[in-house]
Amino acid sequence: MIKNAEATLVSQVLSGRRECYRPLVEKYQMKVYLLACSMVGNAAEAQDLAQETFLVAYKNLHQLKDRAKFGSWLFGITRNLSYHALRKRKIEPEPLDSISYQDIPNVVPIRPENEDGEDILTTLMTRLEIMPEKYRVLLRLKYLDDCSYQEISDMLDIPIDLVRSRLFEGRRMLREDMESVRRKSQ
Amino acid sequence: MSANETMCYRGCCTEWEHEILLYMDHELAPDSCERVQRHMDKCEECARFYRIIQREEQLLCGRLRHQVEMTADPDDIADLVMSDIPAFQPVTWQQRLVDHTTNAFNYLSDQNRRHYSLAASILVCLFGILFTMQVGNVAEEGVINIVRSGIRTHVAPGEYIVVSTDEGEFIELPDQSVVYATPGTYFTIESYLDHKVVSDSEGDTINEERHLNLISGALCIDVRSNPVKTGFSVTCSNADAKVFGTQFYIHTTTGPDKVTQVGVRSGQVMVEKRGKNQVGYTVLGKREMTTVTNFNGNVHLLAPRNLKHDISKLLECFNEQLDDRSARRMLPVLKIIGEDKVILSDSIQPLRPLE
Repeated sequence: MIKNAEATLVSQVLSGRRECYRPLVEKYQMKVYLLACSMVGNAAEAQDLAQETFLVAYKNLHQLKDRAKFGSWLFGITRNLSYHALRKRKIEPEPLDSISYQDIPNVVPIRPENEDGEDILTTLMTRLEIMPEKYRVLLRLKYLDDCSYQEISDMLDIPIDLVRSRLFEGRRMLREDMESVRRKSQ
Repeated sequence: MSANETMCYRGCCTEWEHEILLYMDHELAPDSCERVQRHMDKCEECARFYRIIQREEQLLCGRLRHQVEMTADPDDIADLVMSDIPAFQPVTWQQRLVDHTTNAFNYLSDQNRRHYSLAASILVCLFGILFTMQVGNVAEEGVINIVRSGIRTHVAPGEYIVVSTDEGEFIELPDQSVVYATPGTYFTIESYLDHKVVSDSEGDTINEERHLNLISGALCIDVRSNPVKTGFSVTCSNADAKVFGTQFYIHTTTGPDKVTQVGVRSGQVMVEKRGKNQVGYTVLGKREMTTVTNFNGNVHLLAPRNLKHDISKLLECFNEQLDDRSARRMLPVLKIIGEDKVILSDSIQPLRPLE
């Protein structure tokens, strides 16, 4: 969806054509959901936040000054709502790993090919959850959606160079002392 | 993972670590990619480092995505949002205009402000006349005239055409090319016959300016060729279809696993995949089809194969309706699943790449 088409669509919604909001929602629903998921660390809560984001955006659509920047504006709302949700509950983000496969019926979990891989994966997941938020959010976005650096930069509203350096540092933290885990799993 | 691979962590060349990670993320320019690839061909330790990091990140991605997919379904968000919207309508500019006018009228209707009232009325009339003239000029310049379900209308380049009827819609384009859009489809006409002339390799003149952008859904298109060989192209999220005069079908889906299918009834269509640092195309002939899928961050273009029966049936029905343009008669070939999702039997499933 090119930017001027988005602006046209926003204009059509503002002129009363409610159905034109659906293409915008469908285009951004996955990105908004994954951004919320990366920030709050809980998929079910992220879905509620994504839904709330689109409702808040619709309600305040007339306040959007540059209609071609609907996406950036939407990501801003998502970030604010996510921060608000975290502050409101005053809890640490729930790690994604906390969901047990046994609790979900009819699910065949994707497991590494051998137990060595499982050890490494467990260590990586643990490290991901305890690292500082600014690295964790970036890495989750990268792994969940295979976002490009430019997309991450747009979604988090930070310069692309910062995305590059934080991803690099984050990955280093993720793999610190992994050598001992690998040796152990031999 | 072998014992040898386990020994390697950072690679022997620390200065290459950053480059290798950028290479893995497809964030390097093609020449830098080749440079990294050449280095890894020579340096076994860096090659091992790349393999280990790639495997570990695949494991991590798989685990995270699996957990997210099992807990929530973001595809429901659009339906949930659209069902909640009627509770509050956005404030439109018309409503704001009415509010401001009412306030101004109340203010000016005061006995002591009659002079202001008269002056304001004259100004409003003048402004109205100028505005109407300006709007009239704009409307004449940048519009594309189409016939939508038998009614003449116009759209701006890039304006969304959303098909919300149950039977889909027939749309006639300015050069009498015909599009049938299935229910739930939305697309834009980016440009149409602006006569931006380019030359091909043999020096012939080609106009490249018949361009549709299919966001989601399916289109059957009867493209009229013309003496000046005006190009016709349809862009999707992960593929381009370029044709000169033919009847074809194109379908695309949104979401991370994008799927685009192109099937040809007559003529030829060139299908080009679109992805980061990825090029590739194929040419479809009569009664052939192909699929472009996004899988594991890569775009895959499948080899041409015979047109599937249901797409073939749809195209035949479309061809029969070109004169009457009765969308209702297209209904028997559409299998309606759910409320507003039209899927043509089992042909639109994400496919694993054969390449």
